[in-house]
Amino acid sequence: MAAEHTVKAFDEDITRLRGLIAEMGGLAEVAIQEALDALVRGDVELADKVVARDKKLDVLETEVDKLSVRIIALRAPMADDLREVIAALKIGGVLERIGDYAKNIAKRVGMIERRGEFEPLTLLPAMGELAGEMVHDVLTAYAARDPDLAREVIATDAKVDAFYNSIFRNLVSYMVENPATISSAAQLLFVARNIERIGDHATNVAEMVHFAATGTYPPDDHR
Amino acid sequence: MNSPAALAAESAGVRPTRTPAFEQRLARRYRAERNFRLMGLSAVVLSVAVLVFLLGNMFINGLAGFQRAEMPVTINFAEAGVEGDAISLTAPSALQTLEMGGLPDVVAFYAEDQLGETAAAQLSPDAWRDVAAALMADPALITGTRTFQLAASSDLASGLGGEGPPEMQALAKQLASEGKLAKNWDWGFMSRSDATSPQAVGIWGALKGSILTMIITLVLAFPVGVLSALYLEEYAPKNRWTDVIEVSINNLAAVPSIIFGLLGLAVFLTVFPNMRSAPLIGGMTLALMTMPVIVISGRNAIKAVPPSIRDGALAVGASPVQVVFHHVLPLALPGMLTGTIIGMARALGETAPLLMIGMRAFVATPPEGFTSPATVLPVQIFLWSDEINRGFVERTSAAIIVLLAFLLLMNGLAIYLRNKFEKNW
Amino acid sequence: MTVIHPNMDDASAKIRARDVCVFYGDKQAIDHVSIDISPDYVTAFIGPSGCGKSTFLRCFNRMNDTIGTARVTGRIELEGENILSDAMDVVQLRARVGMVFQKPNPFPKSIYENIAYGPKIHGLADKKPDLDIIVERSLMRAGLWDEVKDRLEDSGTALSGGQQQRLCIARAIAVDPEVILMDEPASALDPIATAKIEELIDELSGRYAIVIVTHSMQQAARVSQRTAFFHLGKMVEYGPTSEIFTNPIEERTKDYITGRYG
Repeated sequence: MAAEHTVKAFDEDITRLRGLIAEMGGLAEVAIQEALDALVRGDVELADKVVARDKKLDVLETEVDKLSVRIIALRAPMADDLREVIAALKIGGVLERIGDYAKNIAKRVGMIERRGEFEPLTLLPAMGELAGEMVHDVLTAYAARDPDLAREVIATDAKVDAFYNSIFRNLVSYMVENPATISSAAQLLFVARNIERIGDHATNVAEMVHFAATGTYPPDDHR
Repeated sequence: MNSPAALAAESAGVRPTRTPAFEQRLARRYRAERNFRLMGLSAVVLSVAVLVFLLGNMFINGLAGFQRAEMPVTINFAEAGVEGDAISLTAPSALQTLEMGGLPDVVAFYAEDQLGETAAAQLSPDAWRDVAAALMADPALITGTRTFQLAASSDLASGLGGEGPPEMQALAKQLASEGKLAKNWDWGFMSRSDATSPQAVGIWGALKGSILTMIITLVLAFPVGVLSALYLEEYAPKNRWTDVIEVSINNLAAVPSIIFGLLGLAVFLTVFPNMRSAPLIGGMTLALMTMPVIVISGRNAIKAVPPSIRDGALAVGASPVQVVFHHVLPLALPGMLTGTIIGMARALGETAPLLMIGMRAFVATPPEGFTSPATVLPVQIFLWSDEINRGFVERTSAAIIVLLAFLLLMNGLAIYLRNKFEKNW
Repeated sequence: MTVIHPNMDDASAKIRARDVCVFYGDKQAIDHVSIDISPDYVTAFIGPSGCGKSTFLRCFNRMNDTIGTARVTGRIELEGENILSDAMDVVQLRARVGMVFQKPNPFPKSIYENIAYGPKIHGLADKKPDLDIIVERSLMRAGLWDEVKDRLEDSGTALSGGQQQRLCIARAIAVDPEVILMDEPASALDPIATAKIEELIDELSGRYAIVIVTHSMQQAARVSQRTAFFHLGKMVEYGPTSEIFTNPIEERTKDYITGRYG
C-alpha cells in the first residue's frame, strides 16, 4: 500500500473495518479453544460462558455490515479498496458462523457422560487445535494481506478432513462395540462435524483474503 | 459614548459589536461615502451646466439666423407681360433668359409701386432670383399672380435688428409699423448656397458638400478598415512585423488632422491637379484619418467575440474564412459600426485638413458631383465667421446648429444600428 | 511504459495513434502515446489535471492547429488515412470527427440554424425540406426534439445548460460524423442534466465511435467500455473499464483511482 488516501477519513474507515474483523477473529479463536477445553474437561460453566459470548460476535457482524455499506455508499471505493470492503463483508459473515459452530460444540458439553472412557475424545482436541490454527493463520494472512499464507491455510484443510474421517470411523466402530454409549458418541460425532465445518469456513476466509490481495481466487487444485 | 445596544450586550456577557471605536469608524465611513457621492454628483452637474450653457447660447443666437428680414411684394406676371412658357422656363438657361427679359425690372417696378421708392431701393439686389426660381419651379405661374416675401438688403436687415446707420434703423422701424417689413422664418436657408450678402446665403451647398465628402470617406475607410482589422486579428502571425503594424496604426489615430491635409495636398492634388475643392479629394484625405479609428475599434470588437464561438464553428468543420464571415463578423459588427460612425462624426467636424487642400473657395452653387468644387459645413462656418458684415453672425450660429443636428443624427444612427445588430451569446 | 491489457479483441480500430508527441513551444505535453480507438465502444481518457488528456483528444480533429505554438508529431490514422499529414483537408476531417466542448457553446442563432449550419457548409443539403429532415433527425437522436420542436426559431442560447449541451451534441451529429470527441461534456451541468447526457452517450455509442475526456472516475466507469489512464503526458494503462476499476495492473493507475494520488 504505497500511500494514504487523500481523504484521510477514508483511511480511518478502512482501518476501523479491519479492526472489527480482527476483533471478530480473535473472539472466534478463543471460542473454539474454550469450547474444546470445556468439552475435554467437562466444564459446564466454561461452556455456558462460550455460549453467552457468542452474542458479541453477532453484534460485531452487524457493525461490519453497516460500516461496509456506508463505505461503499460514501467513498465509492475502487480497485483494491473495493475488494477489501467486499472481502470484509463476506469474512464477517463467515466468522460469525464459525462462532456459531463453537457455540454449538459448547452446548453439547453437558450431554456427554462417562467421558473418561472415551478414547476418541482424545483425538478431538488435536483436530480442534488444527482447526483453531487454521483460523489463527488465516487471520494473520488477512492482517498482512498475504495471499501465500492464505493458500497454505487452504492446503491444511485436507488434514482436517482426514482427521474427521478417521474420528468418524473410530466413533462408529466404538458405537457398534458399546451400544450404551451411542447417545454420547453421537454428540461427539456432531462435535467432530462442527470442527470440520470450522475448517471449511476458514478455507472460505482464506479465499477472500487471496481475492482482496490479488484480485483473483486461488487456483482450484489447492481445494 | 456607549450605545444602549453595547451596554445591553455587555450586561448579557456577550462581547458588544457596537463599541465606541466602532461607532467612530462607522461614522467616518458613512461620511466618506457621502462625500464621494457628492463629488461625483457635482462633477456631473457642472458638466451638464456647461453643456446646457453652450448649447443654449448657440441655440438662442442661431435661432435668429434662421430668420430673415423680408418685404411683401405682389407680382402679376400676366399683366407685366413677362415672357416665357413651360419649355423656356425649364431650360438650363432659363435664369439668363428671364434676366435678359427684364424680370429684375419687373420686380423693382412692383416693389416701388407697393412699398415706396425708399423701401424698394432697400430690396436685396438678388431678390429677383427668388422670383425667377419660383417661375422655374412652376411655369404655370407665368399667367398668374403671387405675393412674394422678398429679402431686404443687409443694411435694412441690420437696421431692423437695431444696428447700423441710424437712418436705416428709422426706415426699418417705419416700414415694420406699416407691415411692409418683417422678420420671417427663412425657408430658403436650407436650400440656398453661399452668397455675398447674409440675406441671401443658404446652407445647402455646404451641407451637400459634407454629405458627398462623407460618402467618399465611408466608401474608402470602412472596407479597408474592417478588412485590416479582420486580417490583423484573425490571420496575421504574432511576430515583430505585426507588432510594428499595430503600433503604427495606433499612432496614426493620434496624428493631428492637419498633417493629413498636408499629405492630401502633396499627394492627392499632384495626382488630380484640377480637383482642388472636390469632395473626392476631401473624402480621400478624411478617409486616411478615419481608417485607423475603424481598425482600432474593429479589432476590439473582434477581440470581444468569445473564442468558444470560434471553436464551435471550427469543430463543425467551418473553414477559417467561414468562421470569420459567418460567426465573428456578425458578432463584431455592432462594435465596428459604432466605431465607424464615431470616426465619421469626427471627420464631419474637421476643418484644418480640408482648408489645406483648398476646400475654402467661395462656392455659390451646390456641388453637382464628387468632382465639382464644394465646401463643407465646418469650413463654411469658418468662412462666415470671418465676414465683416454683421448679418453673418446669426447665420454662423444657424450653420453651427445645422452641423450639430447632423452630428446628433449620426450618433442616433450609431445607437440605432448598434441596438439592431446586438446579439446575446 | 504503457500497459495495455491483453485479450481486448476489439474490431479493427477506428483511430490508430502511433508515437504521438505534442509540444507547446519547448514544453512537451504528450510523450509518445500510441492507442487504438475502437469503433464500437465508448473510450474514456482519465487522469489528473494537466496530464495531457484534453491535448491528446484535440489531436484527433486537429484543433491543436488553432494554437500557434502547438506542434504535433507522430502518426494518427483515421480509417487508414494519416490525419496529421499536410495532404489531409482539415475542414473535411472535422466533419468526420466532431467535437463537443466542456462549456456548451451554441451559436447565437436559432436552434434550427445551429443544427442546419454544418450540413449547409458541407453541402449535405441545401433545400429546406432536406434540412428539415436533418434537423429533426439530429434533434431526435440527441433527445432534444420533444422539448424544442415547437420553438425551433428561438435562440439557441435561450435554452438551459443541459439543453444547450444536447443541442451541441445534435449539432455535431448533424454532419454525420464517424467519431465524436467529448471534452468533459457534463462538468458544467447539474446531476440530472449530467445523467441525461450519460444516457445519451449510451444510446449514441453503437452508431459513432465516442472518445470522452472526464475528470470524474465514476462517470468514466459508468459511461465507457474502454479506459485509458494518462499521467504527465504519457499513457500509463489502457484496458477494459471494468478491469481498470476493479483490478488495475499499474501501481500509478491504482493510486489515482483509489484516491491515493498526490
